[in-house]
Amino acid sequence: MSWVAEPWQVGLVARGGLILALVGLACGTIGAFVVMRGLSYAGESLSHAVLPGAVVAVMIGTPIAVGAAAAALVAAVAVGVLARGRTADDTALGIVFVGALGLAVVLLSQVDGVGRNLESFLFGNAFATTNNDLTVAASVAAAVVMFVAVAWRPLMASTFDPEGVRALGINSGAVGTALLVAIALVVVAALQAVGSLLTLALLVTPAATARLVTVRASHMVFVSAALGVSAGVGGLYLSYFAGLPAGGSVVLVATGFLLAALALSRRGLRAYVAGVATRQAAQVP
Amino acid sequence: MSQDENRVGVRDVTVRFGANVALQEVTFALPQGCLAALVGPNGAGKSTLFRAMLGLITPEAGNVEMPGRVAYVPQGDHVRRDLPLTARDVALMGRFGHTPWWRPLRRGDRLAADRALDAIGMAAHAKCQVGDLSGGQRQRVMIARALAEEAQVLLLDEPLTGVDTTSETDIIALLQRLRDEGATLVMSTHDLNQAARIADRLLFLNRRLVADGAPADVFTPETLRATYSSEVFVVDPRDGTPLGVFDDASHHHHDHAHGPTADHPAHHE
Repeated sequence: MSWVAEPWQVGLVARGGLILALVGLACGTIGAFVVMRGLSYAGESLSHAVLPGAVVAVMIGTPIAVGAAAAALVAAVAVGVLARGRTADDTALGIVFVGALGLAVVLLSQVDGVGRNLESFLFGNAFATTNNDLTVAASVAAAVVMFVAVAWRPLMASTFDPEGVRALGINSGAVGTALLVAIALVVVAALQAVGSLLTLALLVTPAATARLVTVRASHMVFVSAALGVSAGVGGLYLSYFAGLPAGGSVVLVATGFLLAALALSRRGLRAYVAGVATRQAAQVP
Repeated sequence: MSQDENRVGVRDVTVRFGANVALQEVTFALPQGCLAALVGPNGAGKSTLFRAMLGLITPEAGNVEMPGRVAYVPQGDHVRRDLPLTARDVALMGRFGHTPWWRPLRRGDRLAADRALDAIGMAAHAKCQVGDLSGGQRQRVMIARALAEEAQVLLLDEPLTGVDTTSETDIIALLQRLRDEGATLVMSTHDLNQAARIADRLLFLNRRLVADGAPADVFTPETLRATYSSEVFVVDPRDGTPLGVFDDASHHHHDHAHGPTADHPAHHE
């Protein structure tokens, strides 16, 4: 079993693996609500909106997490301002997402010697992370798990019935804003390890897999978090032994879990096949 | 508590959104143990009145007095059906307002949710996924959430819309039983015939309260004409005979050729 311990004996790889596991935990936990509330597009937009901030941070020599967090805040305010007018929510997200991506590309093209290219921001590099990144990932994972545990009831009630829940004394607007802030934090933490493009996969795929195999919301969150961690650790091994990029490996493992659940779960392929058989039987005269 | 203290009181309530007057000097009172139907065209202010009664908006003028906890029951189709939630999970949400959100629920809360499901005949479906329930069953679960809340007043948003005939009968019986047990219920509806048949009180609303009273007293051509501004079919709730077709454009009413019945309800809009 020496191969199991081998990656963890290499400092950079071990740190990268730990960050991937923590990011998987945070993404899986908050991702359950991204999937339940249909916020995938918001998650994607946020993960791209942080890019200009990350680039500026590299240019001026501040931690990337700080620049990315600032950009997430600006993007959230911009979406809020646009959506208050006559612009639909998804249109506002699209405008900010594309605008941020364009700004990041232009900034990168104009600045030499920052030691990074667009690809590293889009796909990340878990093995080029620092202790600061580990601290950010650990803090965000702890904060997200605590947030979901403490705010479980408002989160679930406002997800189920966003309008009616106000009569229960729950401010669904505040809950939604807090959730977006949590997603933004997770995106910032994941940026270095898996990149802005692949973060969405970690936010959505473990949660979608968990939805296939669970019938209780609490179980869905637990399974999603466990799958996120498993995808992070599994991705580390795949990357280490197969010599593949870490971010892509993590996403491949997460997608593998999803395909397995689709094939085996009662709500997946089996339900589809049973549904087809039932429909065909019903058509027999 | 006296009967008067248990009364729902809405007094001179005016709500304005910018330049638009959503409600104008609306006044009515409902005694404890009353099933009232709130009717009126779209944009009449029914939702705004509910929001004012729930304390979600502050009227520009007037005031609302409620005898205790007020629960809102949305349409069963207006809640998410694709979530991994059981009927019991939803009923339990009625207890969320009883405990600060950061504190765990207690055993008593779970028992209250179970009692609410039992009261509406859904105990056997407590572990069923909300998405697997029929429209009528889902509506009953939403009522269970309000019962678990231990609300004295239930505001129901079109509780009979989109449910089959059997469920409709069950829900009407449930509402009447809750009324008999002392709850005050206000249900918004577009089905005038049904409202006149099952409610003790009819509240005709079109930004202002056009009429308020027992169906036999207020279900009249004049009230209908004043409330609605387009054609509407109605039958007399007392004996089911057609009252006619009211068309505000012509300010006349004339007998409908096919005689509308309870099965051909007076859906307006």
